[in-house]
Amino acid sequence: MKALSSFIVILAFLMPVAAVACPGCIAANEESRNAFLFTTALMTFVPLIGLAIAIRFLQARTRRVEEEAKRTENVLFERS
Amino acid sequence: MHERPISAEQFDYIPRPKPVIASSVLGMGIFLFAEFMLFMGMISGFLIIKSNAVGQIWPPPGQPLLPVGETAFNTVMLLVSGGLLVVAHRAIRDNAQRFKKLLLASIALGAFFVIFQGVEWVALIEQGLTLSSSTHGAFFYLMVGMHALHAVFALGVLGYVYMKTHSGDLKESTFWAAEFFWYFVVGMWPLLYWLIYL
Repeated sequence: MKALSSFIVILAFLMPVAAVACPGCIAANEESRNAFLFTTALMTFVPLIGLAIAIRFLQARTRRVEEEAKRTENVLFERS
Repeated sequence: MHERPISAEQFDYIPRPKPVIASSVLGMGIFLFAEFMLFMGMISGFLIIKSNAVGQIWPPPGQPLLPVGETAFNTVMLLVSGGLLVVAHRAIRDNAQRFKKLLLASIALGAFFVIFQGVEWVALIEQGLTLSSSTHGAFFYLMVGMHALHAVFALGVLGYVYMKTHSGDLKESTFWAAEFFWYFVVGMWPLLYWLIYL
């Protein structure tokens, strides 16, 4: 039974049919293709840019907080 | 070596490092980034559908025209609301009364924006533009409606901040988180206006 089901799965892979699932790939006009490429780039790069901005912001903020903490330590030292 | 456990009262006196960023602001940032991607997804779908329009004519023929001029006025109101919040931010430490007034004015203009859009929607529905009338109608109500939903929630958050100023226990980080949310709503709108209306 297991061998038969495996055979059916392999057979299915040997009979490919074109999947018409991509509107940008099948559309005849240039505008559609450009829109598809643009939106793919948008959805790919926006999260990466967002992540880069967040990392830079956190780095700068961490540095500022650490400098502030150092300044406070110095003041305490002088007082004692 | 045997160490004695410390009590809860003693624990409060242990100096802890200052957080790099307030939890409320960080949480709001993560939430807004997810929302930004949601809008980007909708904009992507809209651009692909628009590029596949028959004869490259958008909006499709027979559909009511969108009120470009009136919405431009409404856009200015929203931008002014955002500007007032920037000024309020500067006044938060120095002048509490001025801060309250500016915050209230910002909320009022934001509420005006949402109500004005509601009136526009009623007129458009009467003219025949509905969710199912065309892909134009579907995307219009989906994208503008999603933005309006965010505007309503952000106004609710700003209203909460205003209530807190009256009770006198407003944390600066709470205001920052609310402010961040409102800037997102204000900043997103010109992009949607340009894509959908123009």
